[in-house]
Amino acid sequence: MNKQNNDVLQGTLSLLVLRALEARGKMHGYALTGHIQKASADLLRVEEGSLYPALHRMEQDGWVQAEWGLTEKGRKARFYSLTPRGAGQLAVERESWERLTKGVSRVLRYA
Amino acid sequence: MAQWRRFLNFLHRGRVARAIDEELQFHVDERVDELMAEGLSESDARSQAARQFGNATLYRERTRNLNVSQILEDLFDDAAYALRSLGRSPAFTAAAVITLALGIGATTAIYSVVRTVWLRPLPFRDPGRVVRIWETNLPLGIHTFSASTMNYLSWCEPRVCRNSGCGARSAPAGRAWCGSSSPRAWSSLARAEQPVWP
Repeated sequence: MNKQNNDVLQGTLSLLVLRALEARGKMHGYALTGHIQKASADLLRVEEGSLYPALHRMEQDGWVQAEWGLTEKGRKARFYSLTPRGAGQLAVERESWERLTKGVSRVLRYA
Repeated sequence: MAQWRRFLNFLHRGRVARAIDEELQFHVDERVDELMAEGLSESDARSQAARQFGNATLYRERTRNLNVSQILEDLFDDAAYALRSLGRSPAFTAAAVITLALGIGATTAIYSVVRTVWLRPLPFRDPGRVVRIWETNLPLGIHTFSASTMNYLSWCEPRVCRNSGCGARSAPAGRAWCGSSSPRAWSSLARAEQPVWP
């Protein structure tokens, strides 16, 4: 396992979660890990446990809201969904991410 | 706002902790199901799910601390620890309590004196000499009853005082006792030109 390939960069986890919730609507934590992994074609792997402190912090910040519900298999799970404030945060984080990657790749290309 | 909710959550921190455990457990259970569907044995699936989840204790703690005020919790734990320690050494506890009680009692007593003598003396010219006069009637078993004005005046008659030297000693009921009284009851004395008692 190559660490560089699998670790999610510090600070990008909330961006990934917000985007996943925007794209797929209400999801529980387990589904979020699966979604991020699948959507990134296995390039990104969240250390699964680290998702929960992040989710709860985002809930405290009002970016997501959570409610208990039942999965298709009838298990109790906590489902997260995006709030309007979270949508605003997503726009901010997406923009700063794009600026960062653009800047980094320019530096890398610079001869 | 979030801070406030953390304070409130402290009151039912047990419930909050259980909800977090349940949420994290759900994740691991789902992972185990999936791995078993892929053909792993249950024990293999469990250990791999745990590995993929990472340091569960750490993440549980972190999630918990986001929901429950750490300050209040630490305070509460410290207080509980202090009480347990005190309970373990009753002799020390007794000594400490007695020291505190005596200290507080002595301070209060000294302050009471300072207050009456220095800060708020009675509003009379010579408050240390103000007395209240009682009569006694021992045959009736009454040790203190108010002296009537007429009796008082008669004790103060020059004639009585000449014969017996002191009004109190010539009182018909026998002996006079001294006691204190509220300033209000004696407010008329504030205007007295002469000391009330000889």
